[in-house]
Amino acid sequence: MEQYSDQHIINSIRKREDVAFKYLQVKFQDSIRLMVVEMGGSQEDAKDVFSEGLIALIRLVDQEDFELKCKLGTLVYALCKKTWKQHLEKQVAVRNYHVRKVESSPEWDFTEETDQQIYQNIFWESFRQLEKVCQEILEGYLKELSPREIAEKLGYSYGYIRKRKSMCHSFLMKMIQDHPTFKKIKQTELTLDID
Amino acid sequence: MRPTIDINKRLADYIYDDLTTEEMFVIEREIQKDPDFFDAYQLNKEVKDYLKAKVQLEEMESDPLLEEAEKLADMVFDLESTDEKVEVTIPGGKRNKIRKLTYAVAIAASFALLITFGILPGQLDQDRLFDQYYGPIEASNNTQRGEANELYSDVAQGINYYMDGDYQQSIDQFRMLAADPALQSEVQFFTALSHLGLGQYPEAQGILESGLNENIRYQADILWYLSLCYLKSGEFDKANALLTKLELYDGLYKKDAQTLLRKLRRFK
Repeated sequence: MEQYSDQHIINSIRKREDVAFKYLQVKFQDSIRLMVVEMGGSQEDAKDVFSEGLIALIRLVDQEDFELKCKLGTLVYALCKKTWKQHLEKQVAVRNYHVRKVESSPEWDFTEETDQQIYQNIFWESFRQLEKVCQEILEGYLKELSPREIAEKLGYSYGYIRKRKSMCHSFLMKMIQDHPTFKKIKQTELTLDID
Repeated sequence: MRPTIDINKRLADYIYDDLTTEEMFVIEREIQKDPDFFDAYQLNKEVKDYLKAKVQLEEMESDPLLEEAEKLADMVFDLESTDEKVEVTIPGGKRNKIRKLTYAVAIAASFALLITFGILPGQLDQDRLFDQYYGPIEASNNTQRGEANELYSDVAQGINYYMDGDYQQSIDQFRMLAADPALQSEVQFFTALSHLGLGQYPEAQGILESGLNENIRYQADILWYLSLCYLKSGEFDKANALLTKLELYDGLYKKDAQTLLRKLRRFK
Protein backbone atom coordinates (compact mmCIF):
# COMPACT_ATOMS: atom_id res chain seq x y z
CA MET A 1 0.00 0.00 0.00
CA GLU A 2 1.23 3.47 -0.81
CA GLN A 3 2.24 5.44 2.25
CA TYR A 4 1.07 8.98 2.91
CA SER A 5 1.97 11.44 5.63
CA ASP A 6 -0.64 12.11 8.30
CA GLN A 7 -0.94 15.71 7.19
CA HIS A 8 -1.53 14.62 3.61
CA ILE A 9 -4.43 12.47 4.75
CA ILE A 10 -5.86 15.29 6.87
CA ASN A 11 -5.78 17.59 3.83
CA SER A 12 -7.40 14.88 1.71
CA ILE A 13 -10.18 14.42 4.25
CA ARG A 14 -10.86 18.14 4.13
CA LYS A 15 -11.19 17.90 0.37
CA ARG A 16 -13.31 14.74 0.74
CA GLU A 17 -10.92 12.84 -1.48
CA ASP A 18 -11.64 9.14 -1.90
CA VAL A 19 -8.05 8.17 -1.35
CA ALA A 20 -8.14 9.37 2.26
CA PHE A 21 -11.06 7.16 3.27
CA LYS A 22 -9.68 4.18 1.46
CA TYR A 23 -6.33 4.68 3.16
CA LEU A 24 -7.87 5.00 6.62
CA GLN A 25 -9.88 1.86 6.04
CA VAL A 26 -6.94 -0.24 4.90
CA LYS A 27 -4.59 1.17 7.49
CA PHE A 28 -6.64 1.20 10.67
CA GLN A 29 -9.83 -0.84 10.38
CA ASP A 30 -8.27 -4.12 11.55
CA SER A 31 -6.75 -2.68 14.70
CA ILE A 32 -9.95 -0.81 15.58
CA ARG A 33 -11.92 -4.02 15.06
CA LEU A 34 -9.52 -5.74 17.42
CA MET A 35 -9.92 -3.00 20.02
CA VAL A 36 -13.73 -3.25 19.96
CA VAL A 37 -13.69 -7.03 20.15
CA GLU A 38 -11.19 -6.94 23.02
CA MET A 39 -13.53 -4.51 24.79
CA GLY A 40 -16.46 -6.90 24.50
CA GLY A 41 -18.00 -5.88 21.19
CA SER A 42 -18.81 -7.99 18.15
CA GLN A 43 -17.45 -7.76 14.61
CA GLU A 44 -20.61 -5.87 13.60
CA ASP A 45 -20.19 -3.43 16.50
CA ALA A 46 -16.61 -2.88 15.36
CA LYS A 47 -17.73 -1.95 11.87
CA ASP A 48 -20.23 0.57 13.25
CA VAL A 49 -17.67 2.02 15.65
CA PHE A 50 -15.12 2.48 12.89
CA SER A 51 -17.68 4.27 10.70
CA GLU A 52 -18.72 6.56 13.51
CA GLY A 53 -15.10 7.18 14.45
CA LEU A 54 -14.41 8.34 10.90
CA ILE A 55 -17.43 10.63 10.95
CA ALA A 56 -16.06 12.13 14.18
CA LEU A 57 -12.68 12.53 12.51
CA ILE A 58 -14.24 14.41 9.59
CA ARG A 59 -16.09 16.62 12.08
CA LEU A 60 -12.85 17.32 13.89
CA VAL A 61 -10.59 18.09 10.93
CA ASP A 62 -13.24 20.42 9.53
CA GLN A 63 -12.70 22.72 12.50
CA GLU A 64 -10.73 25.74 11.34
CA ASP A 65 -8.38 25.66 14.31
CA PHE A 66 -7.76 21.92 14.14
CA GLU A 67 -4.11 20.98 14.37
CA LEU A 68 -2.81 17.41 14.45
CA LYS A 69 -0.56 17.15 17.49
CA CYS A 70 -0.32 13.36 17.63
CA LYS A 71 -0.16 10.47 15.17
CA LEU A 72 -3.24 10.12 13.00
CA GLY A 73 -3.55 6.48 14.03
CA THR A 74 -3.62 7.45 17.69
CA LEU A 75 -6.33 10.01 16.97
CA VAL A 76 -8.44 7.46 15.08
CA TYR A 77 -7.97 5.09 18.01
CA ALA A 78 -9.03 7.73 20.57
CA LEU A 79 -12.11 8.68 18.53
CA CYS A 80 -13.20 5.08 18.06
CA LYS A 81 -12.58 4.23 21.69
CA LYS A 82 -14.66 7.20 22.78
CA THR A 83 -17.40 6.14 20.36
CA TRP A 84 -17.44 2.63 21.75
CA LYS A 85 -17.47 3.86 25.35
CA GLN A 86 -20.41 6.11 24.58
CA HIS A 87 -22.24 3.15 23.06
CA LEU A 88 -21.61 1.15 26.19
CA GLU A 89 -22.62 3.98 28.50
CA LYS A 90 -25.92 4.41 26.73
CA GLN A 91 -26.25 0.64 26.60
CA VAL A 92 -27.24 0.94 22.97
CA ALA A 93 -24.65 -1.57 21.95
CA VAL A 94 -25.79 -4.05 24.54
CA ARG A 95 -29.47 -3.63 23.57
CA ASN A 96 -28.68 -3.87 19.87
CA TYR A 97 -26.55 -6.88 20.52
CA HIS A 98 -29.45 -8.75 22.08
CA VAL A 99 -31.97 -7.59 19.49
CA ARG A 100 -29.66 -8.67 16.71
CA LYS A 101 -28.90 -12.01 18.25
CA VAL A 102 -32.43 -12.87 19.30
CA GLU A 103 -34.54 -11.45 16.48
CA SER A 104 -32.47 -11.07 13.35
CA SER A 105 -30.01 -13.85 13.46
CA PRO A 106 -31.17 -16.82 15.47
CA GLU A 107 -28.47 -18.99 13.94
CA TRP A 108 -25.60 -16.80 15.07
CA ASP A 109 -22.60 -18.97 15.67
CA PHE A 110 -21.10 -18.04 19.01
CA THR A 111 -18.59 -20.87 18.83
CA GLU A 112 -17.04 -19.36 15.74
CA GLU A 113 -16.28 -16.05 17.50
CA THR A 114 -15.10 -17.73 20.67
CA ASP A 115 -12.72 -19.99 18.76
CA GLN A 116 -11.42 -16.96 16.94
CA GLN A 117 -10.62 -15.26 20.23
CA ILE A 118 -8.91 -18.35 21.59
CA TYR A 119 -6.83 -18.61 18.42
CA GLN A 120 -5.84 -14.97 18.69
CA ASN A 121 -4.77 -15.40 22.29
CA ILE A 122 -2.57 -18.29 21.20
CA PHE A 123 -1.10 -16.24 18.35
CA TRP A 124 -0.19 -13.40 20.71
CA GLU A 125 1.03 -15.62 23.52
CA SER A 126 3.29 -17.47 21.08
CA PHE A 127 4.58 -14.25 19.55
CA ARG A 128 5.48 -12.95 22.99
CA GLN A 129 7.38 -16.16 23.72
CA LEU A 130 9.70 -15.68 20.74
CA GLU A 131 13.17 -14.51 21.52
CA LYS A 132 13.52 -10.75 21.58
CA VAL A 133 15.37 -10.36 18.31
CA CYS A 134 12.69 -12.40 16.51
CA GLN A 135 9.95 -10.22 17.98
CA GLU A 136 11.79 -7.09 16.90
CA ILE A 137 12.37 -8.31 13.35
CA LEU A 138 8.78 -9.46 12.86
CA GLU A 139 7.47 -6.27 14.47
CA GLY A 140 9.46 -4.30 11.92
CA TYR A 141 7.82 -6.21 9.08
CA LEU A 142 4.38 -5.90 10.69
CA LYS A 143 4.89 -2.15 10.91
CA GLU A 144 5.64 -2.21 7.19
CA LEU A 145 9.25 -1.14 7.55
CA SER A 146 11.50 -2.30 4.71
CA PRO A 147 14.11 -5.01 5.48
CA ARG A 148 16.78 -2.32 5.05
CA GLU A 149 15.14 -0.06 7.63
CA ILE A 150 14.84 -2.96 10.06
CA ALA A 151 18.48 -3.92 9.45
CA GLU A 152 19.59 -0.37 10.10
CA LYS A 153 17.47 -0.05 13.22
CA LEU A 154 18.64 -3.32 14.75
CA GLY A 155 22.24 -3.17 13.53
CA TYR A 156 22.20 -6.31 11.39
CA SER A 157 22.84 -6.87 7.70
CA TYR A 158 20.02 -6.78 5.16
CA GLY A 159 20.53 -10.43 4.23
CA TYR A 160 20.51 -11.54 7.84
CA ILE A 161 17.21 -9.76 8.51
CA ARG A 162 15.49 -11.41 5.53
CA LYS A 163 16.77 -14.86 6.42
CA ARG A 164 16.09 -14.49 10.12
CA LYS A 165 12.58 -13.22 9.46
CA SER A 166 11.65 -16.47 7.70
CA MET A 167 13.14 -18.55 10.51
CA CYS A 168 11.40 -16.50 13.21
CA HIS A 169 8.07 -16.69 11.45
CA SER A 170 8.31 -20.40 10.87
CA PHE A 171 9.30 -20.90 14.51
CA LEU A 172 6.28 -18.85 15.56
CA MET A 173 4.01 -20.96 13.37
CA LYS A 174 5.42 -24.12 14.87
CA MET A 175 4.75 -22.85 18.39
CA ILE A 176 1.18 -22.05 17.40
CA GLN A 177 0.58 -25.35 15.64
CA ASP A 178 2.06 -27.29 18.56
CA HIS A 179 0.00 -25.41 21.14
CA PRO A 180 -2.22 -27.98 22.92
CA THR A 181 -5.35 -25.78 22.80
CA PHE A 182 -4.82 -24.99 19.13
CA LYS A 183 -4.45 -28.68 18.33
CA LYS A 184 -7.55 -29.49 20.34
CA ILE A 185 -9.76 -26.96 18.53
CA LYS A 186 -8.39 -27.98 15.13
CA GLN A 187 -9.14 -31.60 15.96
CA THR A 188 -12.71 -30.67 16.91
CA GLU A 189 -13.15 -28.74 13.65
CA LEU A 190 -11.89 -31.73 11.72
CA THR A 191 -14.33 -34.04 13.49
CA LEU A 192 -17.23 -31.64 12.78
CA ASP A 193 -16.23 -31.46 9.11
CA ILE A 194 -16.24 -35.24 8.83
CA ASP A 195 -19.63 -35.45 10.55
CA MET B 1 4.80 -34.91 2.50
CA ARG B 2 6.88 -31.75 3.03
CA PRO B 3 7.82 -30.74 6.56
CA THR B 4 5.50 -28.01 7.88
CA ILE B 5 8.47 -25.90 8.92
CA ASP B 6 9.65 -25.61 5.28
CA ILE B 7 6.19 -24.62 4.10
CA ASN B 8 5.99 -21.93 6.76
CA LYS B 9 9.44 -20.59 5.88
CA ARG B 10 8.51 -20.27 2.22
CA LEU B 11 5.19 -18.70 3.08
CA ALA B 12 6.91 -16.21 5.39
CA ASP B 13 8.67 -14.64 2.42
CA TYR B 14 5.39 -14.56 0.52
CA ILE B 15 3.17 -13.05 3.19
CA TYR B 16 5.81 -10.52 4.22
CA ASP B 17 6.11 -9.44 0.61
CA ASP B 18 9.75 -10.42 0.31
CA LEU B 19 9.90 -12.30 -3.02
CA THR B 20 10.58 -11.52 -6.67
CA THR B 21 7.76 -11.64 -9.22
CA GLU B 22 8.75 -15.09 -10.44
CA GLU B 23 8.96 -16.48 -6.92
CA MET B 24 5.56 -14.99 -6.07
CA PHE B 25 4.09 -16.51 -9.19
CA VAL B 26 5.42 -19.96 -8.27
CA ILE B 27 3.99 -19.73 -4.76
CA GLU B 28 0.61 -18.52 -6.04
CA ARG B 29 0.41 -21.43 -8.47
CA GLU B 30 1.19 -23.78 -5.65
CA ILE B 31 -1.45 -22.20 -3.41
CA GLN B 32 -4.02 -22.72 -6.14
CA LYS B 33 -3.05 -26.29 -6.87
CA ASP B 34 -2.15 -27.82 -3.53
CA PRO B 35 -4.90 -27.89 -0.85
CA ASP B 36 -2.41 -28.50 1.98
CA PHE B 37 -0.30 -25.58 0.89
CA PHE B 38 -3.45 -23.50 0.59
CA ASP B 39 -4.50 -24.33 4.17
CA ALA B 40 -1.03 -23.48 5.41
CA TYR B 41 -1.19 -20.16 3.56
CA GLN B 42 -4.53 -19.32 5.16
CA LEU B 43 -3.22 -19.95 8.66
CA ASN B 44 0.03 -18.06 8.04
CA LYS B 45 -1.89 -15.10 6.72
CA GLU B 46 -4.39 -15.17 9.57
CA VAL B 47 -1.54 -15.08 12.07
CA LYS B 48 0.23 -12.25 10.26
CA ASP B 49 -2.94 -10.15 9.87
CA TYR B 50 -3.82 -10.57 13.50
CA LEU B 51 -0.32 -9.72 14.72
CA LYS B 52 -0.20 -6.69 12.47
CA ALA B 53 -3.44 -5.34 13.94
CA LYS B 54 -2.33 -6.20 17.47
CA VAL B 55 1.08 -4.54 17.13
CA GLN B 56 -0.56 -1.43 15.70
CA LEU B 57 -3.12 -1.39 18.50
CA GLU B 58 -0.39 -1.69 21.14
CA GLU B 59 1.46 1.16 19.48
CA MET B 60 -1.63 3.36 19.62
CA GLU B 61 -2.37 2.46 23.23
CA SER B 62 1.15 3.25 24.36
CA ASP B 63 1.57 6.44 22.34
CA PRO B 64 2.75 9.18 24.76
CA LEU B 65 0.49 11.60 22.90
CA LEU B 66 -2.61 9.50 23.46
CA GLU B 67 -3.80 11.96 26.10
CA GLU B 68 -3.68 14.73 23.51
CA ALA B 69 -5.71 12.59 21.11
CA GLU B 70 -8.26 11.83 23.83
CA LYS B 71 -8.70 15.54 24.50
CA LEU B 72 -9.48 16.07 20.83
CA ALA B 73 -11.90 13.14 20.93
CA ASP B 74 -13.68 14.65 23.94
CA MET B 75 -13.88 17.96 22.13
CA VAL B 76 -15.44 16.57 18.97
CA PHE B 77 -18.11 14.70 20.89
CA ASP B 78 -18.95 17.90 22.75
CA LEU B 79 -19.51 19.52 19.37
CA GLU B 80 -22.32 17.13 18.49
CA SER B 81 -25.02 19.15 20.18
CA THR B 82 -24.09 22.31 18.28
CA ASP B 83 -24.05 20.70 14.83
CA GLU B 84 -27.00 22.55 13.47
CA LYS B 85 -25.55 25.96 14.29
CA VAL B 86 -22.19 25.42 12.62
CA GLU B 87 -21.72 26.34 9.00
CA VAL B 88 -18.95 25.14 6.75
CA THR B 89 -18.05 25.86 3.16
CA ILE B 90 -17.21 23.10 0.72
CA PRO B 91 -16.53 23.37 -2.99
CA GLY B 92 -19.62 22.88 -5.13
CA GLY B 93 -20.03 21.34 -8.55
CA LYS B 94 -18.64 24.37 -10.38
CA ARG B 95 -15.14 25.54 -9.66
CA ASN B 96 -15.99 29.13 -8.80
CA LYS B 97 -19.16 28.50 -6.99
CA ILE B 98 -18.95 28.00 -3.25
CA ARG B 99 -21.96 26.53 -1.58
CA LYS B 100 -22.71 26.99 2.06
CA LEU B 101 -24.12 23.95 3.73
CA THR B 102 -25.15 23.30 7.26
CA TYR B 103 -22.80 20.98 9.02
CA ALA B 104 -25.43 18.30 9.18
CA VAL B 105 -25.63 18.25 5.39
CA ALA B 106 -21.85 18.08 5.10
CA ILE B 107 -21.78 15.16 7.45
CA ALA B 108 -24.59 13.49 5.51
CA ALA B 109 -22.46 13.85 2.38
CA SER B 110 -19.58 12.22 4.22
CA PHE B 111 -21.85 9.36 5.21
CA ALA B 112 -22.64 8.82 1.54
CA LEU B 113 -18.94 8.76 0.77
CA LEU B 114 -18.28 6.23 3.48
CA ILE B 115 -21.14 4.04 2.28
CA THR B 116 -19.53 4.08 -1.17
CA PHE B 117 -16.40 2.59 0.34
CA GLY B 118 -18.27 -0.02 2.31
CA ILE B 119 -17.09 1.60 5.53
CA LEU B 120 -20.71 2.21 6.46
CA PRO B 121 -23.18 -0.59 5.89
CA GLY B 122 -26.09 0.10 3.57
CA GLN B 123 -29.67 -0.05 4.69
CA LEU B 124 -30.76 -3.22 2.97
CA ASP B 125 -29.78 -6.48 4.55
CA GLN B 126 -28.48 -7.88 1.28
CA ASP B 127 -26.33 -4.81 0.73
CA ARG B 128 -25.11 -5.07 4.27
CA LEU B 129 -24.20 -8.69 3.76
CA PHE B 130 -22.52 -7.89 0.46
CA ASP B 131 -20.48 -5.13 2.10
CA GLN B 132 -19.54 -7.45 4.88
CA TYR B 133 -18.27 -10.21 2.61
CA TYR B 134 -17.03 -8.41 -0.48
CA GLY B 135 -13.39 -7.42 -0.61
CA PRO B 136 -10.96 -7.10 -3.49
CA ILE B 137 -9.08 -10.31 -4.06
CA GLU B 138 -5.60 -10.42 -2.62
CA ALA B 139 -3.50 -10.76 -5.74
CA SER B 140 0.12 -9.88 -5.26
CA ASN B 141 1.38 -6.41 -5.89
CA ASN B 142 4.00 -6.76 -8.54
CA THR B 143 5.03 -3.19 -9.12
CA GLN B 144 8.25 -3.30 -7.17
CA ARG B 145 9.42 -6.77 -7.88
CA GLY B 146 12.16 -8.20 -10.03
CA GLU B 147 12.29 -8.80 -13.76
CA ALA B 148 9.65 -10.93 -15.42
CA ASN B 149 8.98 -12.08 -18.94
CA GLU B 150 7.15 -9.61 -21.12
CA LEU B 151 3.87 -11.48 -21.28
CA TYR B 152 3.62 -11.89 -17.57
CA SER B 153 4.68 -8.32 -16.92
CA ASP B 154 1.68 -7.13 -18.99
CA VAL B 155 -0.61 -9.31 -16.90
CA ALA B 156 1.13 -8.16 -13.74
CA GLN B 157 0.60 -4.56 -14.76
CA GLY B 158 -3.14 -5.16 -15.08
CA ILE B 159 -3.22 -6.91 -11.73
CA ASN B 160 -1.30 -4.07 -10.16
CA TYR B 161 -3.80 -1.53 -11.46
CA TYR B 162 -6.49 -3.65 -9.87
CA MET B 163 -4.59 -3.91 -6.61
CA ASP B 164 -4.09 -0.15 -6.56
CA GLY B 165 -7.81 0.37 -7.05
CA ASP B 166 -7.35 1.77 -10.59
CA TYR B 167 -10.12 -0.45 -11.82
CA GLN B 168 -10.75 1.34 -15.10
CA GLN B 169 -7.06 1.17 -15.98
CA SER B 170 -7.04 -2.49 -15.11
CA ILE B 171 -9.99 -3.08 -17.45
CA ASP B 172 -8.19 -1.15 -20.22
CA GLN B 173 -4.97 -3.10 -19.67
CA PHE B 174 -6.70 -6.47 -19.85
CA ARG B 175 -8.68 -5.35 -22.90
CA MET B 176 -5.35 -4.99 -24.71
CA LEU B 177 -4.46 -8.57 -23.76
CA ALA B 178 -7.85 -10.03 -24.66
CA ALA B 179 -6.71 -11.35 -28.05
CA ASP B 180 -4.19 -13.74 -26.52
CA PRO B 181 -5.89 -17.11 -25.88
CA ALA B 182 -3.27 -18.02 -23.28
CA LEU B 183 -4.39 -15.13 -21.09
CA GLN B 184 -8.16 -15.65 -21.24
CA SER B 185 -8.43 -16.69 -17.62
CA GLU B 186 -6.60 -13.63 -16.32
CA VAL B 187 -8.36 -11.29 -18.74
CA GLN B 188 -11.84 -12.47 -17.83
CA PHE B 189 -11.24 -12.83 -14.14
CA PHE B 190 -9.59 -9.49 -13.46
CA THR B 191 -11.86 -7.60 -15.83
CA ALA B 192 -14.85 -8.95 -13.90
CA LEU B 193 -13.28 -8.08 -10.56
CA SER B 194 -12.49 -4.57 -11.75
CA HIS B 195 -16.11 -4.09 -12.76
CA LEU B 196 -17.05 -5.28 -9.28
CA GLY B 197 -14.63 -2.76 -7.82
CA LEU B 198 -16.33 -0.03 -9.84
CA GLY B 199 -19.74 -1.14 -8.58
CA GLN B 200 -20.73 -2.30 -12.09
CA TYR B 201 -22.35 -5.48 -10.87
CA PRO B 202 -24.27 -6.64 -13.98
CA GLU B 203 -21.10 -6.38 -16.10
CA ALA B 204 -19.11 -8.30 -13.50
CA GLN B 205 -21.85 -10.91 -13.22
CA GLY B 206 -21.97 -11.50 -16.99
CA ILE B 207 -18.22 -12.04 -17.28
CA LEU B 208 -18.07 -14.28 -14.24
CA GLU B 209 -20.93 -16.40 -15.57
CA SER B 210 -18.99 -16.86 -18.83
CA GLY B 211 -15.86 -17.71 -16.88
CA LEU B 212 -17.77 -20.33 -14.93
CA ASN B 213 -19.27 -21.90 -18.06
CA GLU B 214 -15.97 -21.89 -19.90
CA ASN B 215 -14.28 -23.45 -16.91
CA ILE B 216 -11.37 -21.01 -16.91
CA ARG B 217 -8.87 -20.90 -14.04
CA TYR B 218 -9.84 -19.30 -10.70
CA GLN B 219 -13.01 -21.43 -10.41
CA ALA B 220 -13.25 -21.15 -6.63
CA ASP B 221 -12.75 -17.39 -6.78
CA ILE B 222 -15.32 -17.12 -9.56
CA LEU B 223 -17.86 -19.08 -7.52
CA TRP B 224 -17.31 -16.74 -4.60
CA TYR B 225 -17.51 -13.44 -6.46
CA LEU B 226 -20.39 -14.58 -8.64
CA SER B 227 -22.34 -15.63 -5.56
CA LEU B 228 -21.77 -12.12 -4.19
CA CYS B 229 -23.09 -10.64 -7.47
CA TYR B 230 -26.20 -12.78 -7.11
CA LEU B 231 -26.53 -11.67 -3.50
CA LYS B 232 -26.31 -8.05 -4.61
CA SER B 233 -28.94 -8.51 -7.31
CA GLY B 234 -31.25 -10.39 -4.96
CA GLU B 235 -30.96 -13.73 -6.80
CA PHE B 236 -30.64 -15.68 -3.60
CA ASP B 237 -31.31 -19.14 -5.04
CA LYS B 238 -28.46 -18.77 -7.48
CA ALA B 239 -26.21 -17.43 -4.72
CA ASN B 240 -27.20 -20.38 -2.56
CA ALA B 241 -26.36 -22.87 -5.29
CA LEU B 242 -22.87 -21.46 -5.81
CA LEU B 243 -22.13 -21.15 -2.12
CA THR B 244 -23.16 -24.76 -1.63
CA LYS B 245 -20.61 -25.75 -4.29
CA LEU B 246 -18.00 -23.61 -2.58
CA GLU B 247 -18.68 -25.35 0.69
CA LEU B 248 -17.33 -28.48 -0.95
CA TYR B 249 -14.09 -26.81 -1.98
CA ASP B 250 -11.69 -27.30 0.86
CA GLY B 251 -10.20 -23.88 0.51
CA LEU B 252 -10.09 -20.18 1.19
CA TYR B 253 -13.80 -19.52 0.82
CA LYS B 254 -15.17 -22.54 2.62
CA LYS B 255 -15.72 -20.94 5.99
CA ASP B 256 -17.16 -17.71 4.60
CA ALA B 257 -19.40 -19.68 2.25
CA GLN B 258 -20.77 -21.68 5.16
CA THR B 259 -21.47 -18.59 7.26
CA LEU B 260 -22.99 -16.69 4.36
CA LEU B 261 -25.23 -19.64 3.50
CA ARG B 262 -26.56 -19.63 7.05
CA LYS B 263 -27.25 -15.90 6.85
CA LEU B 264 -28.90 -16.23 3.45
CA ARG B 265 -31.54 -18.52 4.90
CA ARG B 266 -33.06 -15.36 6.39
CA PHE B 267 -34.01 -14.19 2.92
CA LYS B 268 -35.89 -17.37 2.07
